[in-house]
Amino acid sequence: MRRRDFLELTLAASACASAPSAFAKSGRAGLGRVVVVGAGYGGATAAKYVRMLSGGRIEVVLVDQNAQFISCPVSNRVLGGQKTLEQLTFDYDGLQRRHGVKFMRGSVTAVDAEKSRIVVAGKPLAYDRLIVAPGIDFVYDDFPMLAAAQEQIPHAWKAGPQTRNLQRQLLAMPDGGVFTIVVPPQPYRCPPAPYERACQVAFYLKTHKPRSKLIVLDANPVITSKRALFERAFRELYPGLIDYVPGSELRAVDVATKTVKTAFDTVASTVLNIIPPQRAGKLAQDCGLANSEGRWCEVDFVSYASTVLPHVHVIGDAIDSSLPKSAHMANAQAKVCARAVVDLMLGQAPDPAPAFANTCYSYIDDKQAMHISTLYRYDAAKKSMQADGAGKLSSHASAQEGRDADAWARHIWDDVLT
Amino acid sequence: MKTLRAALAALVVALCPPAALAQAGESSWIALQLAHFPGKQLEAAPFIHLTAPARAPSGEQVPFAFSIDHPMTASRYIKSVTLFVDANPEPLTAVFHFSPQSGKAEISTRIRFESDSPVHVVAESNDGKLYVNTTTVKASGGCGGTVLGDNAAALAAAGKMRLALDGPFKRGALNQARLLITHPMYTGLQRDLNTNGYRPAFFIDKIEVSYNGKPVLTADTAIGVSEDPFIQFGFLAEQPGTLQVLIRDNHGATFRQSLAVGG
Repeated sequence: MRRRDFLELTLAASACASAPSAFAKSGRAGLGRVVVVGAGYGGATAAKYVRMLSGGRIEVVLVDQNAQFISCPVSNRVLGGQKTLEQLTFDYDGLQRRHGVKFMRGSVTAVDAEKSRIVVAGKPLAYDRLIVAPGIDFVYDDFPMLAAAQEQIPHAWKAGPQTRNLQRQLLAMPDGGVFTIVVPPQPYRCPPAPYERACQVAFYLKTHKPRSKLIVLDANPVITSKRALFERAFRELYPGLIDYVPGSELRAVDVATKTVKTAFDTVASTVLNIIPPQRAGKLAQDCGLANSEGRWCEVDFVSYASTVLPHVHVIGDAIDSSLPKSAHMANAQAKVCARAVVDLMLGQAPDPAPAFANTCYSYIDDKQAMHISTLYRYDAAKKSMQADGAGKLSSHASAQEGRDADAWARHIWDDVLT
Repeated sequence: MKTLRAALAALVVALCPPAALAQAGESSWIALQLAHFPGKQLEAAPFIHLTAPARAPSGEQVPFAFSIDHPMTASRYIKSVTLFVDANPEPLTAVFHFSPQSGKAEISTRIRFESDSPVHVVAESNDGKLYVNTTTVKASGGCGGTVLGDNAAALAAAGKMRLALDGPFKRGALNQARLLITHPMYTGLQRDLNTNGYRPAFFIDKIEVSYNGKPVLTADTAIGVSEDPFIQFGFLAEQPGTLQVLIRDNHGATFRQSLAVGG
């Protein structure tokens, strides 16, 4: 890898020497400026890797409205009582100090692709390339009252205050209460996470409030990921505690009584956790990047360039693809995107055949985890990333995999933030 | 006449320049028409409304719905709707038979896609006219792939049904009902990760729904219908009564469910 970096830098130097005019237009030192909007798993990784792969010669400004990074992966364990939110909260000092990423706090109110600039907190910020990692936004069209009721009925699908809220409600729930998780139809962020959450809540209830009930109302017809393993965990670890009801599309919600109606059932709950349907983050919606069914952002999988706006790239949960919307995917896409952006700013063609892997661990109790990993390769004919058949699904959950999952989290945090 | 048209259609296929057949989907649809509607004209019908995602995360469970704006009177109605997923190993996914008692020829269900594929929905009216509309879905791995679940548990639970009215009962009007069948719907093409062999095809092949004894919907279903089949359908209810469902699997076993409505 080092050798490759060195080669790229040599190439970069020669490209500069032979074609100085290509970069003169920016009027800034080095190769120009990349602005990254959204400092989650995708955005923070892209910021770091553009700095690294350009040898520090591309200026990188990372913009986010939050001052800290809070990990969504592992946040279900806050409910199980194995982690605190503080343990999942990090700052961006490492990216600034070690990689020279400029962090700017503020919300982006406009993207002007024609003039290659965005507006952050009322002030324009010019870029040569823009990488947008807006994450997800919730769709409240069918149940607008839920948008105003997020305190009473938390989603906890973005780690932070919502996670604390749901934990507080779980801790306050009397023994014998009913905790209901409502799962939206695919595609949504992190396919196995609702079922991991079910396991974590069930673990807490089994330990502390064994007369309680956990109901999972799933809009999907079957468990969407690691199905056989979750079915086994529900059956063997939490017999009689979890009531899993597939095909449960939400039809009505009464906020005051925390009662939901599905096609087949009416369920009143003590704690109601509705995970709403999702679409690309608000910024992507506002600036027209979400061109696939008005919901997700179409991109070219070689460079993650938007198919709508020139010199704008989109990565992570917001893109339209058959890839799972996971932190690991956002991190992997960010690296492909960063490398392509650096290549493009050097006037070179990006790698025509990117490949990467996804790994996703789920904890089923306080110690045991299981995982699925899949390798994806770019299919030039289909212009998409396709699973190549190599991959692995755990045969069973184990404490060893629980330790592996811990290591996975530590490593990816290192990769994204330091 | 029929033979002449079939021959002409075959000639059209033969004469088509390679570029016109560049898309495999196009040629397989021509073949499907020749096999299922020999000598018949299919009229493009925008009044067959289709609802499907442009892209589905998994080919195993793709939501799909059709709704046909066509009279449903005793003298003029849609009598059947045939659903093809062109690129599937078994393209013929289901045939739905309607009657005026259905109120409207519309179905919402979930189907399998082995790869990106066009879907063709062909409606036949009681006077024998054929109408068609099509859409395309990107999804894969729905028919083959692997299964890992507990086979014995799946077989033991197969055939259980839930039946519910969608919304309050509407007397003298079109009501919607939802049927959810617990069934693995093995395609015969799925590799069992426990044994490395293929699980034999095992699926629901017939669904019959009646209201107060009058047929509302009959469906001939095949392996292209997703596991745990879900079907939403309409029916006319002049008065309160009983909705009855009978299903049959390809081994001949039958199961029944009923629902009192409007009482």
